[in-house]
Amino acid sequence: MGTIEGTRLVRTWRNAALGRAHPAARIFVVVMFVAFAAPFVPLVVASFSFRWHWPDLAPTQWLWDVRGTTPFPVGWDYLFSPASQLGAAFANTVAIGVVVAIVALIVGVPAAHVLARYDFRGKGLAEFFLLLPIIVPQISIGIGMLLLFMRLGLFRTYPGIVLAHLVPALPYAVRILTAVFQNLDPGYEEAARTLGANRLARLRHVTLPLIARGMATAGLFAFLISSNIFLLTFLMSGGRIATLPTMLFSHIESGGPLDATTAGLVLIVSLPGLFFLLIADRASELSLTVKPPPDGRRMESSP
Amino acid sequence: MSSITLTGITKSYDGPPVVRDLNLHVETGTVFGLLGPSGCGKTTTLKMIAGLLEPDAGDIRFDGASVRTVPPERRRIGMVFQQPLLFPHMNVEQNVGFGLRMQGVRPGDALPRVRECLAMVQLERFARRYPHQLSGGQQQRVALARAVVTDPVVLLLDEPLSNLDTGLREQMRRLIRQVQERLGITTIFVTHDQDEASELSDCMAVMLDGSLAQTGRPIELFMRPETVAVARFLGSTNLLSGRLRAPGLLETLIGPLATSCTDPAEPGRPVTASIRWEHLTIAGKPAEPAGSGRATNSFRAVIRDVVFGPGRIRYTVEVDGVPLVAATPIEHEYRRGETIEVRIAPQRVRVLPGEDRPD
Repeated sequence: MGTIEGTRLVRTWRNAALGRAHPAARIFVVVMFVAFAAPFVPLVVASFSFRWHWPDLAPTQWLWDVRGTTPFPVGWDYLFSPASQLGAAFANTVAIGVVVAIVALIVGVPAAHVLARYDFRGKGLAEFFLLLPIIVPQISIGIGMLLLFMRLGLFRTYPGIVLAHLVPALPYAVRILTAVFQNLDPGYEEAARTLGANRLARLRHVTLPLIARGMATAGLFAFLISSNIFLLTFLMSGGRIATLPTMLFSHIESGGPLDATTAGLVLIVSLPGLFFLLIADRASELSLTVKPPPDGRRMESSP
Repeated sequence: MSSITLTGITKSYDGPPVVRDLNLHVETGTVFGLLGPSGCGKTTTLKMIAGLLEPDAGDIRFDGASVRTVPPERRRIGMVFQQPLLFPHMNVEQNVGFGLRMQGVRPGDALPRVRECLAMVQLERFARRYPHQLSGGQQQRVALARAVVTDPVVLLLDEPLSNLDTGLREQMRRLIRQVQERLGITTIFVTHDQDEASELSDCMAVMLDGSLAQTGRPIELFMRPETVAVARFLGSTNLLSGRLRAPGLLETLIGPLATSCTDPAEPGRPVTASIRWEHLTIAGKPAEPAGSGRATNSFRAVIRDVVFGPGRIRYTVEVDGVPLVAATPIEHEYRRGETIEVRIAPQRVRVLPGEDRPD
């Protein structure tokens, strides 16, 4: 894995901000960047502060001023101590997210293929049901699933949480993949057929490589959705399985001022998404040096 | 190499059949051109021969053996599509070698054959390039090499030139002919371009509304169309509706017209006279006053439009208010508005059954 410097995402932003872009576009990019990055600044400061009350612009007491004098560790010290169980929550979040992404792809690729390529009775209904979890509030779905899962013995289990996460994650993955298949000329598979490729060979050598980038995007979305879910995890885990969002909510539910520990936790919760975005960005750049084919475009003459 | 026979092929998607009771035979090692306007079912027919589509009825035989139950991947065909459809994640060499790889040939063993095919399309130097680094014409040449690498028994070409520029088309046509002659492979070529069809085909068919309207050598189709629809589709001809007055004599919009064509013998039948543009000759200024003792098939006309093209001048003339087209060698220029005399040799008047119904 190379440096983050080299990824397409970073280059895109840097080029947009510093490159030869139109001045208006540059201003826009800078404003966007500030809008997204600005909220993190007080978070970072707060995560190192022991006492920071309104209207002070800076903390009046920093963590390192009181280190060792408190009865138990606070802030980063607490988060990285075994007592916080941050490691377990982090591992749970990533593991559940990865499994959700994989299952979403395994189910989503064939489903999207059918939705994009074939007309069948009840197709509209199938599409509607795929949208439903996005329309219906998660709490309704969650309570319903909870009652069901309790009977099925899936309550407080990892499979239960993964299944619950798939409800909002799968529709997104399928929608992305459907668009991917709609943009994939069926001619590639036909050409492969005439060249002697059977179903499995076509899938392996033609279809999958051509949709790899779309699959990376869909998987990333599924992962990001999963790693952000609080409510469904909260309901299904019964307090037994903690992920980063449930851990965070347990810290802020008291409603007090943002303490250093919570601020640090918020920062950590943001990590998996950012990390995977960069990985996916890098991976898609490495594995697919593919330009879109010149389909539908009139071809230029060759020398 | 094998012959291809289609009998009673019918295919419909939703609604009326796209291909209707189609019969076709292609001799071993020849090129058969399937010419027709878009939507006539020619690509559907080709895809059925390839096995990519299943006919509703009828049989497809290669060398007499039915292939209806054989999936395309085992039909031993090579196909070039309208788009090159090169696999974008493979380089030229890998694309061309794909068919061999599917047969389980190891890359090392496949290489000589891949190189040979690339040489045939003059792209040896591009083996390591990726499709997006090639021009459209080069991509289509790679597609041709890819299609023939496995020594298929049948080569199917689905308008492979329609997305190329004119100059490139000529070059690609020659290349296809060269490759075909070198391999001696039975080929079916689908196109809507009559120049392409007539240049490449040993035998060709005009396909209209899902069935073959006429089959024959290209020159036969142009010189002796059998129906008004074929004559109309091939174009470059004047179509005049009329009636048969007596054997060898038609009554048309521009007056009586003598013909040496005696085929539809019953008088009174509606017929259409087809006179190719180059057979309507301009005989200079009318010698005698109008109406008096004209020569056979000689008409007074006024030049309405003059279009100069390479090799010929195309005049639109008006005879009794009926516009006709005459294509003449570049010898003398008549001017718009000039009154002239046009002649049609009776042996050049082809009589087709039925009226001309422009759609």
